[in-house]
Amino acid sequence: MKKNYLFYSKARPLSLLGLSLLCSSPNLFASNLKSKQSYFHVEQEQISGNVKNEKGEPLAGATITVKGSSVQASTDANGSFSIRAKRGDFLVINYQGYTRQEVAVGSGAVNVTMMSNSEALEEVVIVGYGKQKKGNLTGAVAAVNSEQLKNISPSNLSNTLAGRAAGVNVTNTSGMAGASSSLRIRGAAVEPLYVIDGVVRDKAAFDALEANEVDQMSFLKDAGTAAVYGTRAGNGVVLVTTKKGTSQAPVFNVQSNYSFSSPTQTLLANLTTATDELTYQNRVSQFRWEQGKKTEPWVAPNGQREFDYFKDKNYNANDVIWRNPFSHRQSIAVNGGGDKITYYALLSYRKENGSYKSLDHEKFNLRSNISAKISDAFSMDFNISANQTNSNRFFWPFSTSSSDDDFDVSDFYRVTFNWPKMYPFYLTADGAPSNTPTAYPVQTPMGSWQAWNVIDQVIGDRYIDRKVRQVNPIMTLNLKLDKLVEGLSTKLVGSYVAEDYMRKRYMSFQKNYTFTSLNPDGNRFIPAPPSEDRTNVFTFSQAQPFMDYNPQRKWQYQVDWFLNYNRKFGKHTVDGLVVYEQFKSGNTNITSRAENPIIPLDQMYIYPTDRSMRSTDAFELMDARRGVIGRANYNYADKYIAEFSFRYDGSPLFPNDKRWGFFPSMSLGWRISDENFFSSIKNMVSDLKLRASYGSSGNFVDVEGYSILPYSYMEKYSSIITSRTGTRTPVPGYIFGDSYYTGITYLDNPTTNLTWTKSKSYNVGIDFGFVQNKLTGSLDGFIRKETDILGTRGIKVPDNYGRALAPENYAARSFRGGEVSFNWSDRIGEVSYGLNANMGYAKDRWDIFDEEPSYAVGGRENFRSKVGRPENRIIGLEASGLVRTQAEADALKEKGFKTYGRDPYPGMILYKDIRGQNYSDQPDGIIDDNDMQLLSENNTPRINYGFGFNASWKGFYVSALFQGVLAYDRVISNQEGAGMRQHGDTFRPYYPIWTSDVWTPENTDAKYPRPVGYNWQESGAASSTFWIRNGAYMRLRDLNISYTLPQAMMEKIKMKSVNIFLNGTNLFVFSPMKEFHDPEQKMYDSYPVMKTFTLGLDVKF
Amino acid sequence: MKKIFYPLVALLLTTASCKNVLDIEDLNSVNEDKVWNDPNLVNAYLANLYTLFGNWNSGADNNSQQLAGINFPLNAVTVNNTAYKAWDYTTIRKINTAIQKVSASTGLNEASKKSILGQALFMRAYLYFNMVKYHGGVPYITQPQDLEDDDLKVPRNSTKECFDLIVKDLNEAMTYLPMTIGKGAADYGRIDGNFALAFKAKVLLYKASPQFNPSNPYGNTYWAEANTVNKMAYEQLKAQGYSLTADYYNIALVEKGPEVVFAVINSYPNKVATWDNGVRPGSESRGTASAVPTWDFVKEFPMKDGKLYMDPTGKYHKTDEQFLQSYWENRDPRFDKSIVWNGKIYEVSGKTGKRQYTSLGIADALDNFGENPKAGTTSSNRDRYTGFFILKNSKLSLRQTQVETQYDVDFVLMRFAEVILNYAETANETGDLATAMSLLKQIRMRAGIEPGIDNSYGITAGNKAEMREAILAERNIEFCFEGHRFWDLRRLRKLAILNNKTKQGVEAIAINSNGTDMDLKAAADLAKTYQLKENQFKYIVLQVPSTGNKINLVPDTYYFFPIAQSVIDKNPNIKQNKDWGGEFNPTLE
Repeated sequence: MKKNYLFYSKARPLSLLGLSLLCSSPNLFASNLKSKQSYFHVEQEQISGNVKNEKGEPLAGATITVKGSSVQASTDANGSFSIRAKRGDFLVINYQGYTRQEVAVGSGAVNVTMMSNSEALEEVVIVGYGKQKKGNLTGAVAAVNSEQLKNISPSNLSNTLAGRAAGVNVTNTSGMAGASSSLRIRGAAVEPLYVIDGVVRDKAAFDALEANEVDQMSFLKDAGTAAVYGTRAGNGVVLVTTKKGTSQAPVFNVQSNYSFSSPTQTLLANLTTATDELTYQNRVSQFRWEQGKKTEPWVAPNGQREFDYFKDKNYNANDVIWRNPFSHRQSIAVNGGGDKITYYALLSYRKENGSYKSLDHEKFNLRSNISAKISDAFSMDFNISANQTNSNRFFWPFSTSSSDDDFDVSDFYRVTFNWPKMYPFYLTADGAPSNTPTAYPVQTPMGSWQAWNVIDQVIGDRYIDRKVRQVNPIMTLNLKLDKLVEGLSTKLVGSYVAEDYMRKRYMSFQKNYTFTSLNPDGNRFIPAPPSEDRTNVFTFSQAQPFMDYNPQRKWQYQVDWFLNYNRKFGKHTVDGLVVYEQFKSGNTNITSRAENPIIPLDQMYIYPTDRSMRSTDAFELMDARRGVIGRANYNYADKYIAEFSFRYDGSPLFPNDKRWGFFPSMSLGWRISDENFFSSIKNMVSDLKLRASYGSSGNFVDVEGYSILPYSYMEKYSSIITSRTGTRTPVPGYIFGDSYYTGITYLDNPTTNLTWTKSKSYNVGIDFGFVQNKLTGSLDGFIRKETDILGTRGIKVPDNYGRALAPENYAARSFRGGEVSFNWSDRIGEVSYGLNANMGYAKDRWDIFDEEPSYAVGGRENFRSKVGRPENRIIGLEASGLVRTQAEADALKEKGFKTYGRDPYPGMILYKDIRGQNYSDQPDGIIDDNDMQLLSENNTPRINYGFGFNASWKGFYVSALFQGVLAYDRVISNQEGAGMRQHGDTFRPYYPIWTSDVWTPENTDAKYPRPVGYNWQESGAASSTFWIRNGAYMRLRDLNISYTLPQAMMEKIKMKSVNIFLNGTNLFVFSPMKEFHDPEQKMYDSYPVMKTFTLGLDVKF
Repeated sequence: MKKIFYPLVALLLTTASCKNVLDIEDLNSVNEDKVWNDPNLVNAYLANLYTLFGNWNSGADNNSQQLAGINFPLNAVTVNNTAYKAWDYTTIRKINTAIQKVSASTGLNEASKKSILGQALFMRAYLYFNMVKYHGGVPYITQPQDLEDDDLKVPRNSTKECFDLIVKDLNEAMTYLPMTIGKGAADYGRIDGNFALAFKAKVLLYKASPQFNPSNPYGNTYWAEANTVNKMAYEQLKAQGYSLTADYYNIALVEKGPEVVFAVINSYPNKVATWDNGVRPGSESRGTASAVPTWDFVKEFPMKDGKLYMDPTGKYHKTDEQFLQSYWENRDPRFDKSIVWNGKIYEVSGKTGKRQYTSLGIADALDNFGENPKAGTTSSNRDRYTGFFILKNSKLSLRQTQVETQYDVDFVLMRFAEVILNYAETANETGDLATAMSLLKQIRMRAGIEPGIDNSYGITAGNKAEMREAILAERNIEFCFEGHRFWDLRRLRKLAILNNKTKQGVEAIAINSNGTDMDLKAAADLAKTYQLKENQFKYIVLQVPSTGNKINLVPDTYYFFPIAQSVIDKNPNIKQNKDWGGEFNPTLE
């Protein structure tokens, strides 16, 4: 009976949450606690003592708690402590990596020798719905130690991860403020699933985390470990847990750091001058003259007069608008607690000034994680995080991506270098060029109507202002059910995410003054005074100046109910888990716009209330999931490990009868090193484990990497067409009489038997530890096969059917590769040091993909096929170099040689003629698309690696991380595609390369083709071997030097620790392809990669 | 022991008893059944279909001599490319779906069913007619085909069957449509019986035309049938109050005019078009003028007396050289209302007294045209401009900032003048020269051409063949830039007029009164205050474009365009046209 009663009282909190069966139970607790405190009546006294490890070394920072109270102390550098307690009290001594000890307070000093706990020392890594000792892992999991990240100060968490885990490819293609990095696990086509504190979140939430609130991070690479996330785990899973409080006296941690960034290479805008542009104009003019009738002699458009004028003039937009990015970050955290309550809290603020004026970011993070042990069996965690990101930038409507959110102003970056340097940006009233803004912004005479004033673009009053805030409380209730069944426990986790997004845009027209020559017959570059008769209003292609708001309100909840069973029977350990999970989310998205203000102002009251000048749009979205997850793990003496897990997963993306999928996985581990026959070499090989796993999972991504849209299985009619990228386009309507009638139409043909992409993965691995675990590491090999990928079938129905066929789940793709990682840590005298290295190799291959019949093996266009090949390939022409001389060009012309219909000229790229019309094998003396071939299958880095070292001596600590890629071919590209374009016509070089080592009649030995001002294949604008470079690089990703002030000094100033650090990222790079741009940069004309120095202070007290 | 399970069981029940969490409603679309039983939703579906009528297109006549541009280089149309292919079965399916679903609907009343069916049937006929015009007979599909149940590999209907089916659809549509929808009605802009009849008349005109009857172009029996319906259309519309807009300039610019048979309504900000952005000179617009009249076309406008400048019997007869130096004088008033030339008063964007210049060295770099070596620079417009711009249908009040985004003049798809000229043609071909003459005079009278002492408005046609030419020439001018010319020439098997032709522009060079070249700087200063008039220039003809391909090639095979090879690949029962390697005869013979 008594047993039953106890149970009931402890189970009650659970019922409180689940059923709201509120009753008198809190009182019950209170009285229980009170009665315990009244047992002893002995006097308190100051007890002192000392804590050492088994080698006799003092342990500093061990916590000593009086059992059953919140009285706490910790040891100093000599391992000594002093605490108020009573005789008969028990002191509990905790120190990470050592077995917890309880000592009764007696008469004398309490001297404790802590025994290192090999199990505790052994790393525990987080896995799906739980934790696992690293030594017992049977699948492919890579863990990242958050300690490595805390001194780096990136605006996005993903930016810190390159090179840190084998098989995880992180690419930071832009140094733009706020830009995120792409993260791919094992060569996957899309981002992995992100799970933070057990809750599925998006990439933005992951990026919003501050590095020092992260406790642990794991990458689940194979389906053996990821299958518990079912239909969304096919591209791997990133798990993060945030910090929790530890039972210790409160430790405050203040961090403050300051970062300075600069481009890793000279900005393109600074590579050319006005004089270079004059030369460019002359060169192109000469070429054009040569191509013409040549009836009159060639006269250079720019003579000595112009060159002299520009000797001291050069109008570079960057002089006014560029700034090297600067950011700083301040944070304070506190971590502490007693036996019953522990807490961790963090508040941080970061501010970033982006690389142009009017480009700013701000981020606030708050986290509070409180754990309460309410009784021996019952505990709870309350983890709440809140963050807000404010971004502010100039209005820029011409982003390469249509979204205003990604802060991709790479197209604007182009403007800073392609803008002519021959014309001032501002004039004074009398026509003198001005280097600072005046009332007369100049419209550069580019023969283009889009010629706005680039400076005003940045410093003008137009803006896009975005604020995103999130609150995410997670409550966890843990209940041990040992009294019912020993080893049984249950857990209920509820979480809610509330997100607010608000974007405000304000756009005014730009008035500028057309550049007019003072003397058109003389030096045409001398400006005439600005005139009101020659003005231009740049409208950004908008009908009216406008402002708009776009608020979005998002929410999601997730409830997980766990049932755990964990028990040891002698050498048998059994671990079982069942989880029920339910998730639902929603989003309300509103846009509200007003146009044509009475005066240019960013508040709506000044805009006409005329309804035709105001518009609004809104939509709502919902999603849900439901699943049952199970896992059973059997372990015999940590030697033989077997695990089975599954997820039964349901998603409303699929038709009613096809919503549910079952995703099993299995894995085995065999720790050979624990076998008897191994004992003889145990000194050498301390640890050796073989693992193998198989699992199935899925994803919701189609052949092109886009997510499957909701309700794709239904016939739908709507007035809005939502693209796969989420762009909403209204169905055109029509006007009758005076009224506009909305149009509706049926949407895409439904895929009635829609399903998810199936993913099966096989993984084998070895974990090892040599020389008393000084050298540890692992080796993995994997195959992952995706089938049923949604894509459009190649079967063609007659056009008279009148509708595009619904896509089907048919395509197949596979991924193969492996990873290796090593870790060495040791000590030489007072210097302890570590070395680590990791490398991953992955290659994808399309196995089934519908293509044109001529793409088939043996077909005439087989070189274009992706079947049997990876997605990222280079197809193009093979170049044999430049045509160096007129004679060479004439000889070719004689033979009737043509490149895309054009005659040869000296200075052009000569391509190899390998085929004739219709891809026939006979070369026909003509270069065209028939001469294309497959140039490389490695248009994505196949090998990613990272290696680093760290060393500490006394208070000094140095660590370095090198990261790089291998087996990577890339074509130098512009945003329009592969190859280098000549956009500038006769007017401007556009890309600085066209003023560098280019072919001219005087420089026939040049590296690059002749400037002709035409986007021709032979002038550079084609994918060809001429522009292919080895994309391999190795860069010093991260260098960290820190100094911790000596303990003796700390005692004087009553601090726990003071640490000063200097961190550098992207400091230098070795690469064969620095010729054009940073090897990590996306394209020649995309935003440059930055190197960053961070100076920081980390104080604990 | 069991008590522990109560709360747990209760918890599970709470979760499980909730509505299935996976049953989420689609918040962004409406289901099919609902659409077809709700008159408002069906109407919205129809509103979307109406967009098939298109809108203003400044380049509508790029394929004729009216506008600059070499649209027909060698092999411009092949079986493999997409040029000149009309195969819009996507819209046909949408129309057929409407017809099928509305017919079967139980939620719509008979009146709204009829109204919808009338409009949908017309649209189907309208689209099929366009396809037949391009290719000859096509598969005339009248219901949404089912992937499994229907044979999708349907062959082409013969051209005759198609014409019959088009007429059948139009006849049926007319029984459902109201005869007239008033210009002020809430439904203005919808298809009415008048438009359907006028369109049927046009279809039958095509059916009788030489394009479809190559061996018997003018003696075939279809002309009589066409004449009957054209006469009916003319008379019915006239009786309904349709007439020619008094001022040619206002036909479209004054909206809802008496001449409008069918218009696509534009209204800023809900629906706008891009005419002005395509035709205005660069300095007054937001981009290059993409459609500019040629010198060749400028010559084709009659003089004020209705006769061509080179006609020695004309009151305003001129030699070629005289004409070149004074081409703007004494022209058919439609010339002044359609074309902007160098030095012409062009009061755009509210600029009073503004003259538009195109002369190199004087005009804005965005407007200029020419090679005058004294300018010290060449025009960057040498390959695309001609020294002329389009005035017709341009909404001059729009400011430069509005040109691109606020042009909202109703697009007149069919006007009464076309009904008149279509009728004139069928009347002439059926031997009624007098009717043809009187109809043609109506057009010229409205144009403002001098009647002349013989009250002939300059028309000298004395027989059927001459009248045929007169009507064609009249259509060329009357419908300029409206996209008729190429199709008229093709219908009448006169593509030779375009074949092997180049195009020309006119450069203006400022001169003093004694004929010597004016100092460019002085000229530019005069031009700044619009003091330089068109007669203070000398004019030189230049070929356009100056580089690249300069010749249009429009072979006789273009009387019927080929079916795209990709269409045949997917449906081998579709046979290619005779002139394109197949055996299908796209004519009515």
